[in-house]
Amino acid sequence: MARNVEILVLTFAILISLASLSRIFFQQSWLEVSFVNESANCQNVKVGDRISQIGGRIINSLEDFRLVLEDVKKGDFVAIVSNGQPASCIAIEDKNLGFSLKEQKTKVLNFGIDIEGGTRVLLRIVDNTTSTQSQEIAKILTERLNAYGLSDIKVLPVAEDLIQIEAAGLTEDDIRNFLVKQGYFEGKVVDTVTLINGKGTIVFNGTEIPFEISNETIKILNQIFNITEGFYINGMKYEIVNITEDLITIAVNVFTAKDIESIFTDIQRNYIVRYGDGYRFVFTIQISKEGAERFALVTKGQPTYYSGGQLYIKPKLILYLDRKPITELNIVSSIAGEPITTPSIEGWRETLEEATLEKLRLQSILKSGSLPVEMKIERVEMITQTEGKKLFESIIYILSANLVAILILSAIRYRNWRISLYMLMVAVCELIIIIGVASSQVVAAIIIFLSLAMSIIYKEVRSVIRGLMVFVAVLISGFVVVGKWTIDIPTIAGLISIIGNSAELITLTDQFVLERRKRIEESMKMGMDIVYNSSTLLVFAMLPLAFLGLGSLKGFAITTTLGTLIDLFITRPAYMKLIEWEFRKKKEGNISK
Amino acid sequence: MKFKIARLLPIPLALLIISLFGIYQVYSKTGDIFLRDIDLKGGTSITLTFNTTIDAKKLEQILKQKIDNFIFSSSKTSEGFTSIRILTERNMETQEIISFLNSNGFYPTEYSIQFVGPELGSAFFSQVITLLIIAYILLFITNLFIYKNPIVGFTIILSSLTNIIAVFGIMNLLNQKISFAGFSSMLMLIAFAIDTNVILATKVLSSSKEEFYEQYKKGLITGITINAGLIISMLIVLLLTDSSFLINIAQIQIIGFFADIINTWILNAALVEVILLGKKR
Repeated sequence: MARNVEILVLTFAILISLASLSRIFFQQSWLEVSFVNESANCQNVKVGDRISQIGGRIINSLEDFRLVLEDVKKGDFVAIVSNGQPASCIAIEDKNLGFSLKEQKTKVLNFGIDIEGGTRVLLRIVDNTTSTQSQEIAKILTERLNAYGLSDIKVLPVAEDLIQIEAAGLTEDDIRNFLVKQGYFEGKVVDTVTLINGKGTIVFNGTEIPFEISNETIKILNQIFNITEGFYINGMKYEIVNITEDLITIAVNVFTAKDIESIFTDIQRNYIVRYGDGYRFVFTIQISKEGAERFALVTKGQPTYYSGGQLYIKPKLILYLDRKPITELNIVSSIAGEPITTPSIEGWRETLEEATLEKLRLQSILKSGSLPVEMKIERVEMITQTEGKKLFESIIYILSANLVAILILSAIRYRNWRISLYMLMVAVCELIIIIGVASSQVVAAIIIFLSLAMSIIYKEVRSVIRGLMVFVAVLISGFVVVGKWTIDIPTIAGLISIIGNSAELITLTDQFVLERRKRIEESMKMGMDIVYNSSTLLVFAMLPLAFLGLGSLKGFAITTTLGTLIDLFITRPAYMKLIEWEFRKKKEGNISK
Repeated sequence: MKFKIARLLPIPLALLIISLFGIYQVYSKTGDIFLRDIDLKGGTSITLTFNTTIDAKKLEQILKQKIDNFIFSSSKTSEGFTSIRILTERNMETQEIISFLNSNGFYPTEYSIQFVGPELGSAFFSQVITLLIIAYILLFITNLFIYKNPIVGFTIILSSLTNIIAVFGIMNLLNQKISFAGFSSMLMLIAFAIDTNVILATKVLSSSKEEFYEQYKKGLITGITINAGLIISMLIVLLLTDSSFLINIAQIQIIGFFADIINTWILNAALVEVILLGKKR
């Protein structure tokens, strides 16, 4: 039995890989909460929960969910089973429980956007950042994309100043006009004050405060400030936006992004209506108590005016995003001096689609908060599903054709169908094991551990350089155990190279075919020496790419190294065993003749 | 005894001269040693798919009104659709291009984009070069450890360098660009060049003076079979895919494997023959 350890190891590796891959036939699907409306009245229902029953009916598909909603009326109490636990919702509208579902499936193999289709963006952080900051930026971007309703989002800092985002359904326009927006939110009360001989008054907390302008300075509350730097009243900063001989426009910041506590999404406070030649969108935000108090202090006792039968105060509330005004609101006198906590943001767009998109973008940006630094688009790749599918099909053809090429080449070269069959078998086994590793981190860990164990058992590894090579190969291959392997183009390039590398089997076979005078043990030693030496050189060549390389280089290096590890300790020894049997039989046959 | 392999040295030298000529041609025009694709240079690539037959020449003329300087290519997909690729060095808004095409009666059904900022393109390029240098240094050191013979280390490095020179030169002469993926492919090439050179080194180093040519012949048979297998597999890739990523890899590999046969089994073998056999003599 000890003599056949190579075959046993290969069989075991194949079996666990096939067992893991067989999950493809038993893929589970379920319905998951993709979005919960802020006005939803639900207990134990949150994004990511698995929903199995609604209103006593079993939910297996989105169609089942749609049918259940048909019978739901506003205010209905609906019992739900969420994550196997009792939950409930009170319908916020007819046919609306306040949450949405999406279909999810267990993914046996994780394909990258090159195959599944989607968008990959590489953003550079313009200022100097630390890794903690890039983690924080990645978090904000994830929240922003989640709020935008995109699926399969992966936000990953790939270097200290580079963040990679992969998401299905992200358009080029989304990237330029939404994703990289810094999202710096400000709410300012803006007022224009008349100047007489450089003197005027500002109303603050119901009190008129005089000020005087002279020689680029402003004197207020017995303090002198430079006009360009603005001035302070009660710790609140006033900016001077514009100044002429008889008018001065001042703005005081009352709200910032930190003051936004939530965004209302119920239809009373979040809607789009036809307005003029286009569509007006409105949504309300919840402001913190501190922000609201600042608003009260600034607006109390302000002079008023009538317009359209309504009494307003003279200053306006202007909301800014990235220093550009997005909403200008007149302030009704009845709320002036009150701690207003729910200002509305309004906007107008020509079409309903544009208005919906702009509202969603603003809401997502405000919800996720502002990015602490500016971002720059460095790379964008958008791959359609059709293109991805086409690529996948061509890869299947390529791999199959490569296997056929091995079969034909070996048949021509050796004219021995058993050798050709062994070669084909080993190449197929290698492919199965690698895909098996890609399908499960557990399988990956077992295969790597198995290779390591074999490296200790096989005496060929008993040299410093080969031992070091095994250590480096295990280290690089360890990447696929730490995080689930994504099959993308670099991985596929690696797979093709591994199949191409089956040509190495020719090297092994030739040690027997071309060295007939040598003893079988000598041929085996020579063959394995060549394989070990070239693998050692290959692994060391891949080392800088695996640890220092970006994107394609890293994926390629990991696949190639893992393939080498599997080659060396699982497939090649088994092939050697098969060839050894084949040639021993031949030699014994010749002797008996 | 005359050196048999060294007599064939004009062949790799001719390949080297042709390759250097290709490199010089591009260098004199662009200042680069090869034609960089947009991911190594920066720019935008838009692929538009039309599910009807379109007049590609007319489309190109129309696009000239919108984009100053671009490279245009069209192809038929396996489904009979027309696929158009527009490459430009500047940043383009795809939506703008599509609206412009729509207003001129062209309605693409799908599009994919690749945009790379010029800084990132250059950064990737310098990163790849640095990594290649580190990879070579590691290769040389590992070689010394394995064979304890600097000649073998030198010949392996020489062979893979001449392979890369051949790839750059021939790709330049064929007016083909090299992408970031192509560079991964260069690394594959280094790996495969190692295989054949290891066979050569192991065979001849273990042989006696009398056995040198016999062992060389055996190694040559194995090496050529391996390279033939690899060339066949890459030809299959070239025939079966539309992916520019895989096509770039296949082109480089095919050129590289051909060059490897010449560089390993003539150039390197000749050097080993002269140095080792001369010494043994």
